[in-house]
Amino acid sequence: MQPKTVTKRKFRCIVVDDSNFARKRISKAVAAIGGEVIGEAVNGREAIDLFAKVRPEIVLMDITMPEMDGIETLKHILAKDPEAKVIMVSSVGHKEMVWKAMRIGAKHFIGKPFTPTYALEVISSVLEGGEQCATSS
Amino acid sequence: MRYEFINPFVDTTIRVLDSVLEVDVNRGDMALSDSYDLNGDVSILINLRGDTGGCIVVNMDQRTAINVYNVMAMEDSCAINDFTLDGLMELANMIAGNAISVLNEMGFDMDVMPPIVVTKIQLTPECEGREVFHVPLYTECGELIMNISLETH
Repeated sequence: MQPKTVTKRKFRCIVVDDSNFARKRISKAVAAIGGEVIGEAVNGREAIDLFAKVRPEIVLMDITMPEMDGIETLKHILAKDPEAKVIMVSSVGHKEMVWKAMRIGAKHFIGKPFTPTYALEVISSVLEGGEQCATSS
Repeated sequence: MRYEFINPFVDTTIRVLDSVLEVDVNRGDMALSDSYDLNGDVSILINLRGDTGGCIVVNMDQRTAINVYNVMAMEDSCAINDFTLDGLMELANMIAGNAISVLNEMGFDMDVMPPIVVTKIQLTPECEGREVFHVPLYTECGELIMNISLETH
């Protein structure tokens, strides 16, 4: 899928991933497209607390994490805020989990590896209330 | 050896490396052996289960591992440390996840265990009685050797 040409936009997000490297890489991609990472969490429990505290516009969240995975965390976040905009970011290994996340209420899925341009396209679409969709770059 | 599983792994690894490293990845000649080629210092281990079991080992020397990490992280690290291994683990997850997706889409019932990144001294892969395909991948970061060893059911 070829990314469309998009312009940078400001948004506030949190990044949830158990890999320090992945959080750092996603944060760099977010900065490259004009966004601001206002918090990071290493597992679902931290993510739920962080979400309640900082109320981000976007949550970028891994699926496979220790303690509480992305699917369970998604349920908790949506229970607190049904309008929460959660985008799952993961390698595409477990498609059934991706579809499960989408059925529960995730707004989109970004498969790793992804380009900043593609991430911006997806995030812009979600911020604008675009149609729910699961694709990878 | 289930030969139909080999190319999806090789092609996916090339595609992920190409995307993450943004460099050309050239595939060398494939060779068949009865043992792993693990002369490099760092290995990514991906264990499979399902329609076929087995192990994929991506082996590289220390310089290549550091180069790969530095390109991925946009940093200038000069040693293998926890951050480097964490970065390579992320690469391993991308290779494993994408390869399994391709195999699932081809109709195979396959799953992957969480990948492991190890240094040479820790490595004890099992391949007794199996064929091992060696596939060299040449990049600007250095050479990576894919070792593909799958069970025949």
